Amino acid sequence: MKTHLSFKQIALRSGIGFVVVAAFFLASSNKTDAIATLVDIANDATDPLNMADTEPSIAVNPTNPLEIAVVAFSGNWGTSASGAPIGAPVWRSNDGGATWSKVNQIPQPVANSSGPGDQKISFNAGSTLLVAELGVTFSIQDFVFRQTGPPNAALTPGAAYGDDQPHLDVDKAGASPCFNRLYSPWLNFSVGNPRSTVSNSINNGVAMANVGAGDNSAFPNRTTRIAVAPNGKIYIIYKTREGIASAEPNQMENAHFRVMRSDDCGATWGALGPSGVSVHGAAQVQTFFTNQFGNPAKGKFARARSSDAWIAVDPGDGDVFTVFVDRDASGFGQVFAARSTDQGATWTVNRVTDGTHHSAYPEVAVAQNGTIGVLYIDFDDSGPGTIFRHRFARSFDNGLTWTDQILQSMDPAPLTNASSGFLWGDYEGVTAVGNTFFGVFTGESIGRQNRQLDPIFFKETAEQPTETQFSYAAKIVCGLQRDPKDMRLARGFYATTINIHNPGDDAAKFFKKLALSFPPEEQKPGKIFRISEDTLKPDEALKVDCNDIRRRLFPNGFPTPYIEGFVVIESAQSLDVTAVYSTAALDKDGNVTTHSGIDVEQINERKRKETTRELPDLIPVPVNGGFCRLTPDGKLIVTVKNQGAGPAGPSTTQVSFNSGSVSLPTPALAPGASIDLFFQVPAGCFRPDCGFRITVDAASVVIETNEANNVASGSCLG
Amino acid sequence: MQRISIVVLIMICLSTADYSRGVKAPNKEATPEPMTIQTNVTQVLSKAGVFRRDFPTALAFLESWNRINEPKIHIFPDRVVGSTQYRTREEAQRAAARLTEAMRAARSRPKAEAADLLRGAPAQAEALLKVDVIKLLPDDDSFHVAWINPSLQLLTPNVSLATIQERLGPPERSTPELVQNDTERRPVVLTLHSYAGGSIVFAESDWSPVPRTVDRVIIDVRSTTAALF
Repeated sequence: MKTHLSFKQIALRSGIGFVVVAAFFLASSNKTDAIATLVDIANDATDPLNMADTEPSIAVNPTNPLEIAVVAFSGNWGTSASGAPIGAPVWRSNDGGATWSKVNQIPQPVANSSGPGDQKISFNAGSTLLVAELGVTFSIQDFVFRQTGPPNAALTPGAAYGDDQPHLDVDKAGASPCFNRLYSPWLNFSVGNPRSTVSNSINNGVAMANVGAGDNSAFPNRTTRIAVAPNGKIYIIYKTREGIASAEPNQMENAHFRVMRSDDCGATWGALGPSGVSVHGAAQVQTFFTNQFGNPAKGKFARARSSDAWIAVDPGDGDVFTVFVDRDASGFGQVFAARSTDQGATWTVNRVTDGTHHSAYPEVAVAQNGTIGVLYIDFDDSGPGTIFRHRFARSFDNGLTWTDQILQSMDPAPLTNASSGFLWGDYEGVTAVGNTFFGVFTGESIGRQNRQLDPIFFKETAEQPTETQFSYAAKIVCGLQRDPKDMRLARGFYATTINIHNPGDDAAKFFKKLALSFPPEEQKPGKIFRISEDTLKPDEALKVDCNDIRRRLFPNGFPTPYIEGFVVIESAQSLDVTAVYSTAALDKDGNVTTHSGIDVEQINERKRKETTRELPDLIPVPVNGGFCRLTPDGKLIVTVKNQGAGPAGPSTTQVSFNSGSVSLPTPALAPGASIDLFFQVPAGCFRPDCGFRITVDAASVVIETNEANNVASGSCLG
Repeated sequence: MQRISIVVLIMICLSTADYSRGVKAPNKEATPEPMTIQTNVTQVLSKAGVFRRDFPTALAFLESWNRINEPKIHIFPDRVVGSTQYRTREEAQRAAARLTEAMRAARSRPKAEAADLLRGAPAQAEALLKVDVIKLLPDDDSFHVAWINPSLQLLTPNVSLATIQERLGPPERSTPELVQNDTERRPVVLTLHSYAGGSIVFAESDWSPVPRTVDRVIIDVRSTTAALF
């Protein structure tokens, strides 16, 4: 079955309900350049001391995507003057990221330990929260903290292990031979050439086994990142540092980014050879090794020494994706994506970025539908200051082409808690559950009394946008033209305001972008900029004008005294779009004088084609006309089937017995696939019969062709 | 000789380094105006109310740090750490030997206005102020010369900056300082609250479990020695 999916349907089925989605789309749409949903995790109540909240990491509960956890440098563990324990915080959301609380649940792992000093967070398949943290006593020690009680209770530290920059991932695939095994890569500085090392644990960090992985025989290692494939194979990417290539600022070094694989649950790492496979071939790349990412002459800067590679695995087909930095012919450090379809043996590489700015800090995640998401940072120092931009790129074709958006532009200069040299940390966070990307970065606060760095949560769909049904191209002229002899535009001051009204009965979500025609001059096409994504409730209206465009897209001022072009609006719903053009004359000195003209134009609507997409359809499968099937030891067997034409991401199946409810994670299901789940029947259900109701996709995270066939009821005779 | 990682000041990348000795010279700030220091150092040290039992002894032997050209010392609750970063333990041990020797030299007579500060300090303190070589974690990965002893009581832990300001008034200057390290762990960010022309600095650290408290007191050795002796 082929089904068109509207924006509204996406919102309705995105896991948190339309009201919440609309609320925080509306709340954020006027404050950032974002198209993705942005939420400032901190607020004046939860962050009264204005912590810097750097180096954030994010985890989403695979069985309940409404439950999200973030760690950042938002507080330390230790003891107070009175000796009372102080826990480091975990930011937690139970509503899909709309609201957040700060839970001080990471205890001091050993006496006299300071920290945290580095961190990474994850959930395992059983919803247990796990956090890898670096602590400092008389040496560097890492710990995995695990949830052993209720979600907000103090976590329990495991064994000390490791050294610098611990990361973390867990095998969540039920069919994997290494199911529930935990892996934590780190960098061993206690050997001559630092070595990428991976510890593994079968008990959530209670005990850790350390295994050397990277090849440090010739060059020191750095930047170790990890990903676990659904078949239980584990991959790391690391770099070998092969000599400095250029000086500060934005110092570069020669390097290879190499992938290694373990096929034995982390016991050994030689499956791709003793050094692994270089994802970019034999030639070196040049990547950042700098304490001055940015322009020190124009404001604050960041460090980027292990901020140049990441790895992820497609949860559906097991393809491996890496992202890494290479200075190419553009002269800029650029983000590249490499894909392997043969478990890391060979790679194909494509550039993610556009060759116009230094770019670094790439992190990659792959959604259930194979969409790739890359979070990265670039900077623009063409104006008086340095503007850092958190960006998110998506590829719907395995990395061949990329759709990019600026999540937030930020000048850190006025942010008092932004320390030059360590603005957001060495890395940030992005992950995917189902067909949604979840991310966090350290950016400029939203709605705080004091402008500062905060952890900023974002969420973006992995669904390729539906072809818009309607588009509107409104001419725009903004700025000052002083030259009386210029025949492109008469001398004067020009302003444009475009008003958009939703005449429909449903909320309308639409994109706006700017297509410049000037600059450049004459017969050359100008740049295209995404402005924002907005939502209007029925009968609401908003406007985009010259000031708004300048603030969002040209924070350092227009590139020329005036600009011309089109504001293009793309919408699934029909809109009213009207442009208002006003002008003012200039006196002989070029100063703006009196208003001299106004024109109002109704913008024509252009109707476009719709596209279709294959969707899944999850159902509980009846057996012999009913749903009572019991194992010999009394567990209820529930068969979940995807009878749709599209793949279904991971979901949750819930059975509500008349004496209590039980939920079980349900893995991704290809079209036509099914799985048996085994539910423990709560005591007291049989009285004498045991009634129950089965709900597939109980958390409503899978977009289906039919949402009405997810529930079935049954009864077992006592 | 290998380059070494150095302290990075906010807005400044690298400060000068003394590579000829294989050590890194920490931040070189202008030596404060002597008269001002002489007047204020004793007042600041007397009125701060954060120093404990063994601080007069440490202060009495401040000259020994000056004799080995240590520019600054960091006073923690239970240790005193020199600011010079040594790339190898051996280099630091040679400096530690010089410090031990300097502690045996005859001490200068304190100035009258500093007498109360140094009252009760023993003539010899090698047993109390044990010279050793340590790593100053989490600040950096170098070796430092230090006085350590588990029984040392130098600085009251977790005193709030608000308390300091109540006693001393607002600082002459407050500046952030990012302490870069060789590894990828989170760097320490200190906020330095300067008094007595920069001779005495009350520093808070973003690694402290209790924000807005004094993590350490940083003493400019040369100017403070001149003010006291």
